[in-house]
Amino acid sequence: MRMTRQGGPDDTDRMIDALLDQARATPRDMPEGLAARMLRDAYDEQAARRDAVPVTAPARQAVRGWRPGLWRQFLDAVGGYPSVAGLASVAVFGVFIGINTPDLLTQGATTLGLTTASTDLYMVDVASVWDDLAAEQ
Amino acid sequence: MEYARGTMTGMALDALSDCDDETLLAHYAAGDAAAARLLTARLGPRVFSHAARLLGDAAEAEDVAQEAMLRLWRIAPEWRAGEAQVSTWLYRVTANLCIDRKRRARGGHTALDAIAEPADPAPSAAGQLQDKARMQALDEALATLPDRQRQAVVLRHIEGLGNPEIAEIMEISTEAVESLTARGKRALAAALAGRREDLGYADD
Repeated sequence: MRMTRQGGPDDTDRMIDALLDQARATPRDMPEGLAARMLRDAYDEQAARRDAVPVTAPARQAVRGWRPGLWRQFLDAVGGYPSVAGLASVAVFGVFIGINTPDLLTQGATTLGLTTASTDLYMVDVASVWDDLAAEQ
Repeated sequence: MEYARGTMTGMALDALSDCDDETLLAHYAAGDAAAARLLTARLGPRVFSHAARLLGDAAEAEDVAQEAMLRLWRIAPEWRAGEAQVSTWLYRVTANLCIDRKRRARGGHTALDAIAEPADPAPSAAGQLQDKARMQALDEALATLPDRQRQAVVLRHIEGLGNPEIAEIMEISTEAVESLTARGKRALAAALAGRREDLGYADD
């Protein structure tokens, strides 16, 4: 495909090569003050790092054998405060069920055949105990 | 000079100047001011020159070069030895900053508007005038190329890098580099085909 006639693509290619070679041989000078600005940034960054000296969690662990407290370990295990809120709600509901067993629950359990002579022992109406205590006084 | 804080971390300047870029960067991260000066002297001009070739605008290239070096200073403490050459990383950061800038600029007007005027129009001998005209013609022709072609041609033929390093900088295969440089040179030839005479190449 290459042609050698005067002014053909070959000559243009040679011109492009010559132009690129010339560009390579004449690197651009940095504008005045640019090197100084680059250096100023370099020193500022060095100074900022000197002043900062951050104490990160891994660093504390490495240096003083620091480990998280029991509460923090518990939180990490259950998945943070949202989970703790859920656990608290369930616990409060459990206590409510224990103290004030709704009739529906006992009736339902009886209907399903879940109550027997032995489970009746656990289905005590706690309130009546307080009544008995009050009567003794 | 103004930054005479000098060789405060003990290593003599001579010994430092024999170090490669990566070692210098480690010295810089450790607080050595002399390493900062050597890195700036070594890499600053290359970064600026590369940005100027990619942007065709000296003032914009100045901003980009300062920003690219700032990113180098910031990454210095986390630099992972042996992963990439410092210069390779810098060429990539510089090119990406240039391309970002051009994309933003294109929102307003065409990239052709940004073609550099000759930085220093002071007239001198005829030879110098012709050199200047030739370099300006090359910059104008480079400005007509798509960004990636332009980047590949500049890295290969002006910065003089090998295809494997260009592939690493541009994060593409060496075959893709070859294809980009070949297409780029064909586009340059098309852009400059009619200008042999006025650039003084007619009687070669």
